[in-house]
Amino acid sequence: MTLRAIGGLVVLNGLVAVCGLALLYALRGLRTWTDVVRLAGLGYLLGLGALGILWTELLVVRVPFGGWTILSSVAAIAAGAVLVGSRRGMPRPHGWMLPGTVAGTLTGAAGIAAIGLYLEALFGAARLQSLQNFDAWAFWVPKAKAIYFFGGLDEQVFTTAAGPSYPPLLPVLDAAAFHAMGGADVVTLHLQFWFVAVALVAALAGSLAPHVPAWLLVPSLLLVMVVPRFSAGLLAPLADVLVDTFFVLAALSTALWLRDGRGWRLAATAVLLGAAVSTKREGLLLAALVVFSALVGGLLRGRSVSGVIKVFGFVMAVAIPWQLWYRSRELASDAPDGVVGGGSFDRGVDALRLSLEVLFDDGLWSVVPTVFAIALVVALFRGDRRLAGFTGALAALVVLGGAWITFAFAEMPITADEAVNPIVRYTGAAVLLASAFTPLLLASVWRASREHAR
Amino acid sequence: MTLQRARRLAVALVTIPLLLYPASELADGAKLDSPDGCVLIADPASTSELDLVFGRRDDVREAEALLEQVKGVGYVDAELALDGCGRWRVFYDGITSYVQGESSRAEARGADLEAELEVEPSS
Repeated sequence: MTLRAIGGLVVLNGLVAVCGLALLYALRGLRTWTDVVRLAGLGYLLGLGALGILWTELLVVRVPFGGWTILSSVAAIAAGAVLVGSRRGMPRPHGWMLPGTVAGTLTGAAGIAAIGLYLEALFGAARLQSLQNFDAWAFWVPKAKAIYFFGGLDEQVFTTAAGPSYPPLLPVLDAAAFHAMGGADVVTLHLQFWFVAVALVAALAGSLAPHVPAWLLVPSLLLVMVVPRFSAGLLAPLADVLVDTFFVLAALSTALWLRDGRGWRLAATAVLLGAAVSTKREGLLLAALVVFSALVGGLLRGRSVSGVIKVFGFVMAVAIPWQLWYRSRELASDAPDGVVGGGSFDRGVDALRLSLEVLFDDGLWSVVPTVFAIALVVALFRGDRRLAGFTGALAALVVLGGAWITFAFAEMPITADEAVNPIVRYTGAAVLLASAFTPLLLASVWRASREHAR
Repeated sequence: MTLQRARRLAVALVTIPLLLYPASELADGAKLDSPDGCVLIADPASTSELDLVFGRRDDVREAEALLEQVKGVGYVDAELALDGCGRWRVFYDGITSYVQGESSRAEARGADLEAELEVEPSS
């Protein structure tokens, strides 16, 4: 690891953030510098999603991937977004809008300090990690090296390595990191995932801050980071946390759209879900669940759902080119044969039991699912019932989705052993969803109780 | 407390710990820059597999030139591979013991090669 490699990653991730903030400017405008700072995390993930989608499609159509491709794609997205924002007359940032209360200011500052310290310690761990995770060194990083050294989807590597149907957003992101570092440095590569972890926390904080008081938000964010399974996987060069991140931010954006009807949130959802389907196969299932929940939620509120249908169309358009690429090489999709696959009723019951056991395993996820379940029930009776309905339905669908995966693959043993069943990795999506929505649900209960007291 | 004072206190609350922590780590000997992070020099007590390493290069062409030089000296089975830190490593893996490795290292150094006995990365 050298300072040059770290500097390269700082520049790459800075460019990703600039790209995403430009997209936010085009979609909603950025009125103040406070907005820019607050939405920097979400902006980074939008930038990562947009660039990841673009790079994936460019690889599929055989555009050579290298330093110039990275720079020109960043320039194209950022300049295009700024142009669109200007044409639409979006407000540009000027001035600051700081919290107006003493308690809010001090609680927020203490939270930033505590979370910041944790992230600094995580940086220390990231800069010295060797490549140990099996999936990372067995196929994710070799695929990234193939893109880095050969400039594209090398037929031999991508058709013979494990998981040939896995979409290439993660390897292409790793390859971009190699270009930024100046070499295939698989030690410093872990720092790329530190940037994603920082963005995840910042995006949750920035998205939730206007809706959740700081005293509720800070402990929730700290809890997310110290959940055993997440803290162990945050820095691994794997697609699991990345796909969960895109999915949960998309779900949060959708829930807030259901609440306030602001169209830019659906556009953000589209980019994030497009990135999710380009990251992992499970992304398709998770994206379908978000779209379905948004459709039902929108119809129940009497809201036009044409935007949701456009989101669906965009996500499908993003997913199809990669599907065509690997199917054209006669590679197996690894999907079950039909919805039922090889399952039976008894197997379905066992699969559902396994999903619930994994979800409520406090050795993996600490108290997050339990606190979420309590928050959900309390919010149904004493808080925002619509939000609780949407969240509960989506969380239940995600858990059922996990059970379906075990159920449909008849040859898959019904066990939490990660070597033979992906249920633990998959359940991460449900748990991160729970982490993100718990403060929102509890804030709705707190607000309702204050209004009731008046 | 006035809002103005609270904001000043907030700035201190954020900046002091966030600066103090990395400063204390650096004072404690932590290094941000570790270009030799993938080098593990062998010692006589080492029981791992050993390699005779002739050098590392950032550029593959420079590494190939070094490989040719090494082969020219007589290490015809020398190889070239990426190390975990993204650098090209030129090495000979036919070392069976530390004693044999020491002797090979001395021989290589006698031929003006910057050889070093290292623990094989995968062991």
